[in-house]
Amino acid sequence: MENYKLFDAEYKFVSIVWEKEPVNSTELVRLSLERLGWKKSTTYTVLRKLCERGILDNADAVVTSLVKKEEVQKYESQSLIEKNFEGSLPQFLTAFLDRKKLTAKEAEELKRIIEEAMQ
Amino acid sequence: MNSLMTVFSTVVDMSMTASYVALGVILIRLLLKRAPKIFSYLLWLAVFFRLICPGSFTSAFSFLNVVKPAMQPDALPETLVMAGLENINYAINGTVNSSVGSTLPLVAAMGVSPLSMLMLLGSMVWMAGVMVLLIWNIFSYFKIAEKIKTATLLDASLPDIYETDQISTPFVFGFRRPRIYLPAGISARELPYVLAHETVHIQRSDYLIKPTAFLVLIIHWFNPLMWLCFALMVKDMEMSCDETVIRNKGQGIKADYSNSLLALAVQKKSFWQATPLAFGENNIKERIKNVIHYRKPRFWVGTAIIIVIAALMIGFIANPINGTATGQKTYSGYAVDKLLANKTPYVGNASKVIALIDAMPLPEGVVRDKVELQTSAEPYGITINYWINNASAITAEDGIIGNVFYRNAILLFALVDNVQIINIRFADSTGQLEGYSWSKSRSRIEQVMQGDVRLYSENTGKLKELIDRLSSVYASYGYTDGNTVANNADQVKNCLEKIITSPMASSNPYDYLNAHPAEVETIIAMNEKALPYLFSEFAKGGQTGLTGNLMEILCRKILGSEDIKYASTNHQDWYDAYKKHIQEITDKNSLGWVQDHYPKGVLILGGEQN
Repeated sequence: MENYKLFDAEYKFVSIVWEKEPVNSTELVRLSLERLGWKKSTTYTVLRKLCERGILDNADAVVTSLVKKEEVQKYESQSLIEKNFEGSLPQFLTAFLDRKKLTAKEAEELKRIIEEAMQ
Repeated sequence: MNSLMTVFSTVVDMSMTASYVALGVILIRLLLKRAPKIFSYLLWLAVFFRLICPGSFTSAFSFLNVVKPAMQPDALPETLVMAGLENINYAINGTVNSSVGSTLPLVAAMGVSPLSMLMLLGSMVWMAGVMVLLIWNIFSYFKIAEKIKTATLLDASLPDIYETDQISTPFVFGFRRPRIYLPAGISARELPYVLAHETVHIQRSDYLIKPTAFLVLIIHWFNPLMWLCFALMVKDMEMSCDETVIRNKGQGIKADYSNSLLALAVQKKSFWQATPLAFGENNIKERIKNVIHYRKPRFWVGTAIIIVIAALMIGFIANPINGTATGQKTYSGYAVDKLLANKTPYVGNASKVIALIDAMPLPEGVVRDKVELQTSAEPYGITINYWINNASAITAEDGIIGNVFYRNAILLFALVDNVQIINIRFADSTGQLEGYSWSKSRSRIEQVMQGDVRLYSENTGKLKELIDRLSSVYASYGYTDGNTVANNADQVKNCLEKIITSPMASSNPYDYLNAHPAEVETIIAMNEKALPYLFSEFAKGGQTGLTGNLMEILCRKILGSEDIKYASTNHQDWYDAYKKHIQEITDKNSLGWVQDHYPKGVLILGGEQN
């Protein structure tokens, strides 16, 4: 089973196709505008790229998917990593430090300041 | 090339003034550390104004009054720039005159003056820097626009809020229709705070203010202080934005909001990634501390701060008033520092020329009206119109067309390098002095002062030396030497009236003249000072009688070698012919030339100008 990696926006777009396929491309433009806030040109650009990669198929203005939902994986974004630390400030700070080069001392200080304010 | 350098020197001027104001703002900011940051944010408006406006209104309450005299070297960079400009101007003129061709002056200028070369190089480097920064930023703008093209609506029911995994920090993007862009997968805990923060940015038009400020920064890129100002301004903008969120949502959210800041506003390059300065951790630390310490000020404290800020803004934006009224240091009534600071190579630099005129003393009751600059063709000239409010000015010791104006004109010749002629015109409410005017040419002044007066504009000491010399310079021709025009006119008129009384029987004018030797002697002794009145009587026309006859004789006697060969038939025709003659030679040569060669005859032109 091949593993396709998609960006967040592509994933949302393909999700619409999975839900509605087979779907007319005009209808797809309408749905993309409504749900994603995309202009017609953006929809067609993304559609073309996904067709080139063999993820979607556009034949006579009818769009269908060529891959199943299980085969697809989203790219992990930075914010996705942050999401995993949700609720756990110390852990988050560790990740934060690695990327942002804030010294451990400064991070501890910030944490302390916020905690003091919470009391 | 010259216009580029003029623009550059204006920008440098503005940068210098803005730097003083910026230092002031930075100082006040320190004092306002505990106050809401909106006040610090507002203060930057004064710096912004100084960076884009070459001039301003004047007020006794000007911050520059305090700062500028204390910082003497201020005139130095400006003078340097100006000196460079001047040299280039001369160098290029010189080469053009020797008809080397249009492509060579630059090379010639390089050979002529290292300073002008430096100046030219400076303005070119400046322009290149502006271009590079501008292009780089436009490029960055489109790069981000491309990145967020596929951003999707966070919620189909919320317009203008998008998310995308192509970015890592939330920001507002777009000019006409600003939209909030969030990194994909933002946690539900942080989302409301992030949205609240970005919404405040949109409501306050920060998304327009920041790029505008950055554009101005690009123009002043050579001034490191302005980069610091921009960084501080953005910090104040963010902090006051945080405060607004807390104010809107209540003190209770402080801790959660701070945590969200930690989580998301990490490397806040809010509006677009190309922001020139990325603020690291320190900024977040300060922002979190600021949020936690923020208290909405009590009403009266807030009001007091608003009043202080408003006063400060006026102080920062206003230019100092010239002259003695402000208590600024003057020397014999001349604001020497101001004069030197506004020294200019060009008549065309209107703001400087006017600043110079206004830095010189005037007799009481006289106000400056419109100033006209003749810059399109040689001779380059300045025409100053004065309005006489108060009749007492007429009888004042330094009468209206007296020495003060003459001395001021000499100073103008010293401080405006390329001015060739200065015209002074007067108007008053009574109409009595309507139309009096005179002109001075540079060559004439050089004759009087025995040298180039521009040499005196080098430094304070020299300028004071010139001012000292001026106190013993009197309007050498022109209408008065301490007396007023009106006095002179009255004197001539009285004498003429006496002469004409007797002997009634005679029709020979010489009988009348011989009968009144004292009166005739008085008029002849007045020399050219008698002419304005006599000419003005002729100018009324119809002087064909005895009075006309007497006036013709007196005029021609005073004019002496300046007179024309002309046999008059009715006296008025002599006046008309002589006037035509003077006008013709003025058109053929120049007013300055006529002033030099016909110092008396030129007065015939004076009475009819207004």
